[in-house]
Amino acid sequence: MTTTKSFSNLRGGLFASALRAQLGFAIASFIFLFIAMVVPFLVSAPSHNSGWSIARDASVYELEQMIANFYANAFSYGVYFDPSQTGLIAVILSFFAFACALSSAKYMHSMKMSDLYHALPVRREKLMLTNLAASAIAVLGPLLVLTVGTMLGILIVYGRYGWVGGWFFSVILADFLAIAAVSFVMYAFATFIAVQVGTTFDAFALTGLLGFLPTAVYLIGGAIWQSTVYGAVFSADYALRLSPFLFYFEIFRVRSLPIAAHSVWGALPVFLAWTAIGVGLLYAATLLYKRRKSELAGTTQPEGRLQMIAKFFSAFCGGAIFLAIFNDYPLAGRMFVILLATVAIGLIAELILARGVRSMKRNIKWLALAGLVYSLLYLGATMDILNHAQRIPASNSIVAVSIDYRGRFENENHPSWVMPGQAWNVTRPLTEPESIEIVREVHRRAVEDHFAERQEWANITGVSSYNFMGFATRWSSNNIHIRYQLSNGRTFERRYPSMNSDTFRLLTGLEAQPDFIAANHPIFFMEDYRQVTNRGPIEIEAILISLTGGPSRSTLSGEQAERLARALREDMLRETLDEVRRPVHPTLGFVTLNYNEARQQPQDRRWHIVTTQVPITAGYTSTLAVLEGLGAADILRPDFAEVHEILVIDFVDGLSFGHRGERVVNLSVGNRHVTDLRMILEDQRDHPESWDNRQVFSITNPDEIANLMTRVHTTLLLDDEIIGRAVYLQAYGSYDRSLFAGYVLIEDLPVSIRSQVADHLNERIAVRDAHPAQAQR
Amino acid sequence: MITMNNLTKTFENFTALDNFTSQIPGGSIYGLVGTNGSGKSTLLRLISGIYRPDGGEILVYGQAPFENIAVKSQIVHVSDDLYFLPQATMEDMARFYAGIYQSFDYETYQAMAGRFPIDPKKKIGKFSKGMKRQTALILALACRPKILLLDEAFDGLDPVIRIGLRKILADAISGGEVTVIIASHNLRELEDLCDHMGLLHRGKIIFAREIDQVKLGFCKVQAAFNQLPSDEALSGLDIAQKSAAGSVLTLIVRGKPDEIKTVIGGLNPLFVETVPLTLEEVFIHEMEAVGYDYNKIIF
Repeated sequence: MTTTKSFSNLRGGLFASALRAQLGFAIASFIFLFIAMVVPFLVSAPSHNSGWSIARDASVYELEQMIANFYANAFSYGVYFDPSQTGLIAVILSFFAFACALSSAKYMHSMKMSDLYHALPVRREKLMLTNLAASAIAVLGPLLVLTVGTMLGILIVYGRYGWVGGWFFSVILADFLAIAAVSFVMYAFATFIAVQVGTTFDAFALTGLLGFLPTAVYLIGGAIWQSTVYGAVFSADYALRLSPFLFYFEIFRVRSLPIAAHSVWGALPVFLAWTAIGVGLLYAATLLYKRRKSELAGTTQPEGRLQMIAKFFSAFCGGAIFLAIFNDYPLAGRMFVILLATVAIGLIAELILARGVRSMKRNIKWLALAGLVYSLLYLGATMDILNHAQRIPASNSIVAVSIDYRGRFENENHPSWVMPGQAWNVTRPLTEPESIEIVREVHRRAVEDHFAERQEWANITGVSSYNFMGFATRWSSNNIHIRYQLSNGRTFERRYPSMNSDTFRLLTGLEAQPDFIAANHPIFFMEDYRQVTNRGPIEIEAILISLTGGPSRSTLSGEQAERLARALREDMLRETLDEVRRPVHPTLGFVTLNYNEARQQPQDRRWHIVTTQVPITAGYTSTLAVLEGLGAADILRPDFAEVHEILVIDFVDGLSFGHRGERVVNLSVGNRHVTDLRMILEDQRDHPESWDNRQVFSITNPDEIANLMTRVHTTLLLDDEIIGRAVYLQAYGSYDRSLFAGYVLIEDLPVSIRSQVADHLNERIAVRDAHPAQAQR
Repeated sequence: MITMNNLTKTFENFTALDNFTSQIPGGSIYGLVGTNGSGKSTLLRLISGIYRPDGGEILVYGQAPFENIAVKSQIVHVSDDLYFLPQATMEDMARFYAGIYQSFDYETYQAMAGRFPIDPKKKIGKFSKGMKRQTALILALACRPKILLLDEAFDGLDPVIRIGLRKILADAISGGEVTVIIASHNLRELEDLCDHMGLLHRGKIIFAREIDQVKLGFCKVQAAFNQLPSDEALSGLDIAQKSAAGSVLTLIVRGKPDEIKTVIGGLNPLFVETVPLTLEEVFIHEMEAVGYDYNKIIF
């Protein structure tokens, strides 16, 4: 006989009913996750099987790579390996968490459900937590099942390899917890809203709206600030972490070191913060649940504060959007547009939220007031009443500074492109007081220049307030980007569109500062660089030496590599920046260095090999002496007999070499940015009508080739002056094999074509000057 | 005993209960009568702890019911708009209640369920309205509450079902320990079931009485005369209503029937008889006595 007690234990109660209500979500969640996690594995299984024999013979490192790739393409949900797949899973589960939250809260929004559940002798906290537990099972249960299944599969198939261990599973666990945290926060946020409103629709609409509110306000406010404050840089660093819907994607901003994949660990503070907020929201929800005004379930009575926030947020967004559309209008016009758009969009929001027009009339005055406030805030930003535009941090508040800039002229190039090697990174921090003062002075002059220009504009036009946005957004390749690290831990950042010759002179002085040199030549200033960046010592793994005209190579390592590096450093220190930009000596060949930029973790080393290529000229006497001593100097003496033809072309428009920002190209063999001149030549022959004013010249005489090869420059600063004096060339061997490329001055060309090329160049420049726009195209 | 002192409940700009003060005696069958929006359902929800009072207090056995598990476990509320778990059978719902109410009695449930042609394993969603009402009442009574709240429990049911439900209810409460509060907008439905009655109007209680006392306080007298007596001759009676048709005089008089009959008899009527009043008639006169027009409130 079934007794009362046993009957109650059969199947029933609050939790069972909550779980039953979420069953549909659990099934749907399982199906979606199965598609996202398992189906890719099934699809890719054949290719995996074919790679199995390879895996047996691979090294541990190769195995890791293979497994990582396999795992990414197969059945992992792993954050660690495949961001897109993980992101998809996070999105799926967030959606279900959101849906479960709304579904769980439905009993508050339906009168008949409210009558049933709220009359039960159950505390409201218990009701809420029971629903949370049921939702957690519905949302995370399928993920847990599939993950455990996956882990078991990996353990069975790959358990024999060492990498399937604690570390591997800890990563998977971290991924799981991250997704659980995201789902929880989504649930808590939706519940927090749901307990305060009268209908599920309101909960849905307000959760969606308020979930993006902080990010939207931040982005819109930042955009307005950047567009109105001269030089301001809005980096939007906090955009993702401000939203409960978006904070998960912080992991895509962080890369873990071992395989350069995205990682949860890097975004851990954000996850912990949001989890804490989620707990707080859920706790607040339980308190508000007991005091909710919208007890009249099923009635559209959104909590007044939420409705107000949603309405004025919509109005704010509307004002910002219309501001962007009418940004070219005078200031008064823009302010009026903000006012009108705020009222219009606010009324639409009111119409939707209040489901009627009755309250619109009552609220129009408040929206108008809000529009006025927004307009005045915009005016304040435009006038820069907080003086952000002219702010320069005090010297004693600056810990370090970095500066990134372009050359003297509009069309000049970034210093890193003319320096030997590719390690130049001017954004690395400088800490010497002298360097900081130089940067501050550069900053001060940039601001002064701007306001002088502004005053000039006001004198000419009589308009004292003009649209800063035009100046702020007129970015070209020529700008300065300054970033101060302040003693309070914050960063102060500015970017300016231009600089004058005085500023450039200051920057030349900066380039002579020891910390600047050390920061930008890591390979040659290892110890200094290590101190500046607070990283481990740089280790040279190998040095490759290659010949300009051919494929010959030699590899150095150990003590020999160290000797060569010291010699290179010595030669480079002797060479001024201007000499680097305008080499006196032709390039003999290249030394290619592969070195490790050591990181914090020993296992990360292999992922940070840096390759840099230094052109060796006759001025690199120390380097040449070391090479001589190593018996490797011969490989720097090219065999010009291999060169069968040299083709020459002008670079007046520069477009043959890529876009304008890459005019100065380190013309090593195989440079991707260089167009094959033979193709141009053939195209000219086939389609002469398309090449009416540009010509490729050919040199095939062996003596002329040998003579010309000693005068080739591999790097050249391409300003307006040099464009009228130099041409670009490519050398070809047998079977039209491209051997190398370079620049040569007109006066160094063979006599046979010199005047012809000079005339053609002058003609090209004349055409360009007459039709600059056409030349640009 | 349920006590309401200055009980107030508002929703936005609407006041559902306005300084409501009354008492519901324990063990009574209390009828709450009033039009839609008079505050009946709100009062039931306050008693069952669904709502929290905005003002005043409500005490059930001396304790506020809101979030009070001890009190709420003695109350079962059957809403006018019934809700059952999705896809649930009556058996499922019984398990649901059994898991929550410690006092749930499976034998009572089985005994009552067996008296009606309801398949406990059939989904409730497929039941008729009357069957759903029966199911809800069976489940509620199986919980063996000390206070049973029924909101429009007999609304829209055919007479057979209504009689059945009344019988279930009468049997269940025959012990006299259960307090039943039935809200309805139809006074006639409650007449032969309740022993106490309260009339609500716009969030206030107009009056609350024990029905027997109410009925005993009035008497309807019909008498025929050769010549109708003057008002002076009737001045010894507390007449609530007087009407005449030819030589027949009909009076509704406050007081005991025997005493009234004696007074009328002194006026030499051709015949005289006392007629019992319906509850509705009693209410009309009671409300008129306190200054309300019954027709404007109920109809």
